[in-house]
Amino acid sequence: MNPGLNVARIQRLCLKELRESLRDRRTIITLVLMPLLVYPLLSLILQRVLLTNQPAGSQEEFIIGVDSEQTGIDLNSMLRQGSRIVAALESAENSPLSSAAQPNSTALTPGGSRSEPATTTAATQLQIIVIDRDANKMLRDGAVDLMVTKIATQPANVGAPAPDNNPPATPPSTEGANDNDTSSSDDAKENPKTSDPAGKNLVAPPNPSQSANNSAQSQAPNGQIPPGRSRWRFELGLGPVTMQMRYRENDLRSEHAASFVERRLTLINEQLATQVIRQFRIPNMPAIGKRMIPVRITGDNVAIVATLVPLVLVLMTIAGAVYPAIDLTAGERERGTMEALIVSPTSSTVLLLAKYVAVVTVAMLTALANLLAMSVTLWSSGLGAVIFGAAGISIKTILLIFPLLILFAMFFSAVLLAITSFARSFKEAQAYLIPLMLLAMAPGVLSLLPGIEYNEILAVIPLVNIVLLAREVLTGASQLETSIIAVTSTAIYAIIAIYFASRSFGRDASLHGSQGSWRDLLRRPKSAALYPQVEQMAMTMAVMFPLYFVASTRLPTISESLPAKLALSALVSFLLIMGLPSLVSWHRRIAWRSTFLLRVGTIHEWLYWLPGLLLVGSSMWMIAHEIIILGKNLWIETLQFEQALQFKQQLQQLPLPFVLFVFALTPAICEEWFFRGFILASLRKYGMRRAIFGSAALFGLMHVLTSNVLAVERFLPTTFIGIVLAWIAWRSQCILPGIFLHAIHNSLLLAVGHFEDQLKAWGIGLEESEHLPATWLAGGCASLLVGYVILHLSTARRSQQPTST
Amino acid sequence: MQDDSAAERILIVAHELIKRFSWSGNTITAVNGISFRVETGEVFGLLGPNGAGKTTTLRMVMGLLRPDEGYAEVDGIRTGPDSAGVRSKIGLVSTNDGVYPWLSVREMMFYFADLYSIPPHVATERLDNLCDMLQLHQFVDQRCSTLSTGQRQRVILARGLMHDPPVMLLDEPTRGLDVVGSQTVFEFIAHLKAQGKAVVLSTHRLDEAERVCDRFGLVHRGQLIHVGTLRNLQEVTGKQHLTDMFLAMISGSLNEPLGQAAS
Repeated sequence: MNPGLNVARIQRLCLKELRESLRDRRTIITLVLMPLLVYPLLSLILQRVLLTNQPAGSQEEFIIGVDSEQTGIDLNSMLRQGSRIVAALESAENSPLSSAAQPNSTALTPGGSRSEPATTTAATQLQIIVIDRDANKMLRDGAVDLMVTKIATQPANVGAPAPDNNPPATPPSTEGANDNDTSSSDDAKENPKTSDPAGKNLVAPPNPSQSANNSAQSQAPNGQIPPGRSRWRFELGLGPVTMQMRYRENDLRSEHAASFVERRLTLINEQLATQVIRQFRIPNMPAIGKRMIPVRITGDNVAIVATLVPLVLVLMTIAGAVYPAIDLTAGERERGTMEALIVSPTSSTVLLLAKYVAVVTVAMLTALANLLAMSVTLWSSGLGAVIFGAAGISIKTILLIFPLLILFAMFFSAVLLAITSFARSFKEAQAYLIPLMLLAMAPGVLSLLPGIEYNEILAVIPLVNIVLLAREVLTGASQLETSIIAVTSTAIYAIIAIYFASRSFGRDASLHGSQGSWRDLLRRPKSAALYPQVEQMAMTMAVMFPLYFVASTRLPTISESLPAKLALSALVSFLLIMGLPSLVSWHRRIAWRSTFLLRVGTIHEWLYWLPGLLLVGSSMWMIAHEIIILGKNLWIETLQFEQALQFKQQLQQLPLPFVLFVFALTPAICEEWFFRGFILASLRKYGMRRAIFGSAALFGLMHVLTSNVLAVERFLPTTFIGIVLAWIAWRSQCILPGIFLHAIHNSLLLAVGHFEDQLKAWGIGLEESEHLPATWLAGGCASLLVGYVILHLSTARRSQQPTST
Repeated sequence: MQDDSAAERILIVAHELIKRFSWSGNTITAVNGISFRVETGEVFGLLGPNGAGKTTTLRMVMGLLRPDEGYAEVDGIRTGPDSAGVRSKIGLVSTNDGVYPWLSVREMMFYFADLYSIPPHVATERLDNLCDMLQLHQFVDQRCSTLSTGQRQRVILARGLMHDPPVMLLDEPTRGLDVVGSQTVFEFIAHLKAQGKAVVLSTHRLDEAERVCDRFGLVHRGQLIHVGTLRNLQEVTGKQHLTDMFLAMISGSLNEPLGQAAS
């Protein structure tokens, strides 16, 4: 069809599409500008959301202004003492600390450490500078984070600031100050004046809206600024001095600086109080001991953000793919180049694949740009550590996320192309895409819900599976099973979408006039076909796999009783494995007789078939068993033997005919119908060998994927059995021998399981993991060989003319 | 190519083509039994008013549309939406054709060469010839978005010849062009004729058609009313110019069916 369909040509075809979209300014905007703008903005918002609850764990440097050099020296020594207490406290929490203080009158940088609940400990740098005038202005301008003024207080007002959590240590003399402070919450405007003894150096009072924000903050559970205090100013007394601290309200940095100093001063007061109590030997003081144990939790906020990050990445990747997808499909039509494309001998599938490559590439570039922008933003803002733990986002995580984004880009590009291929113009394409984008948001938002658990069902829902998988990867909790399901199902959806895209791309209807509709895709063909096409088979498989998966994992949970479960699973097999290909064949007008090899066979034929099938059927399991043992020696075994054993015991309780019906007859009929009927027929044109091996490999693959545990070791033996069955179906051109053989094989294994005890009593026991006795193997091979010869000879004539049925 | 032009043979066959379009209950017969043949080195003019069914006919010959009845053959092969094999033998230039704004002329030409599986060295040579013929040299490396209407039209004509097809279908190639532009198109057609290609030209510019076409088919309401050389038509209709024949045809069909002396 395409004589010159070589790699270089395909490359050039893809290159044209890529060139076209990359030269377009609109692509560049989504590719470069959006990530540059979105993430810094996003990080600002996130910082607001997160850090009101949780201080940043990264290193901080505070600049503290003091009113005089003496205050600086005092403050420094207080902080050193406080830090020592903090260090002592935290060494119990196994946080190694370095508190190297450098006494310097103007620039003091005591290395200290804070331990706030639910945060990592990080070194805090302090710089103390003397500010003798315009202190408020400097504070407001952010030149200093905290302004500390030493006030000589009268003994009545002096004392510890009486933090609420420290009642026993509070000297009675602080009552007044305490009252003053608690009254402040409503009229913050008035408060500074009444509580500031000097009546000057006032910090500008907060405006009402800020104060509303603020009260929400003070209720936050972090407890940095104990409630009931003036939230824009508080005082700490140490002996006869009061250290007045002024800080910027609603400014995280400034608030942190204040709480940093406040904590140390409180601790000194507590220590002093304890010492005083000890000195005076007051028994049972403090009456209430307290011990705070910080526990790191992943709060809901964090979980949401952890999901938000991949969701934003996913959405940005979509945004990157949308424009090229429209431009390369509906755009061709709008430019008037579509007709020239369609009349060329290159098939629309090839054209579409080239476009697909280009769209995926642009989407990947967008993903990469976004990933980089996001990593840099998270890293530079320190948000990464808050969201994803102390290490932040590692290179490894990024490397893991990127393939996921690629996978998603491949999926979504295919969906986009399927839709835009149908549109006749840009506007129409956009009209189609807006609902799709909203639709895509919905599962994304669903996955934002905290506490949502990633299970097999969610793993097959498009978009949700990738977002959740990305979240799992980011938080380092990804599981192999769900990951594989998500990746497989996404790939399958991509294939389906591409199939639809190539079918609708450049159709008559979309070229000229509005007669076409989606119904065209589902319209039954007018002419009949003898055999299904490979695409039809692939589509059927692609639809069957997720359906079967969901049905086989979820339906059994409906009922508790084992027989009901088994009956249900048999029903599912009949409906899906047998029903779906039948439905497809009916709808696409594919002849059932030739596809499903429907013929009874003559008595003469069966005279030979029966002994042959019995011989093969009774010895096939030995080879399969040996293959399993071989595989076990090569790989890791994944079968859960305990579970299997338990299941076997349960089965032994059930009547044998029922077990045989569920596990022998049902799979024999359904799987022969699908694999040796539908699939083998669809692969017919590739010749006998390829058709047989291809259908057998699919048979093996389906058995690996549809079991709840990914039983990799099942692949080879099942494929072997698939080869035997496909060969018989091909040779006999009849579905019945395969069903018969399949049923014998399964029944034999089941019967052995069922009568295990009796067999053991007779001295016939089989260890699951051992090689068979040599005599058995020899007998099995002989019987297999004889059976093969009989079947080969008896079917020789038939296979000469495979299409004669 | 030279061998093909040497032998006089029928390259295009349209046989009793019928196409109906239907939507929401209404059925319109766009083409109702059109038949014609075109030989090598011949220019066949498909003439008719807008909506007569010219484009639909060409699309069926092209294989873009499947005829409801009848068939079309190019070089002895049936055309249809599924017959990719015959497509490399047909070149199509249509009114609605466009260019890729972000590609240079050269890139676009090579892209179409790739679509037709033409090896790059052949494509380079052919593009050189086409540049000479249609004077594309000065803007061959410009992006298509910068081209003027006339330049664009020349690029589109060149694009139709990139795979050197024996059959050329031209659907209203002069629409929207000025005198100079139209002149280029007619020189182009003359060139095609000299190369021995079978050309079908659909147009409603009768004066132009008279200059370049060897034979004519007058299409009205999906039917070929007259087919023949200018002299044939003059004899049948008794009119000297195509325009008069045309008007007679249209008015005639309104009142009484004109003698359906087609073919």
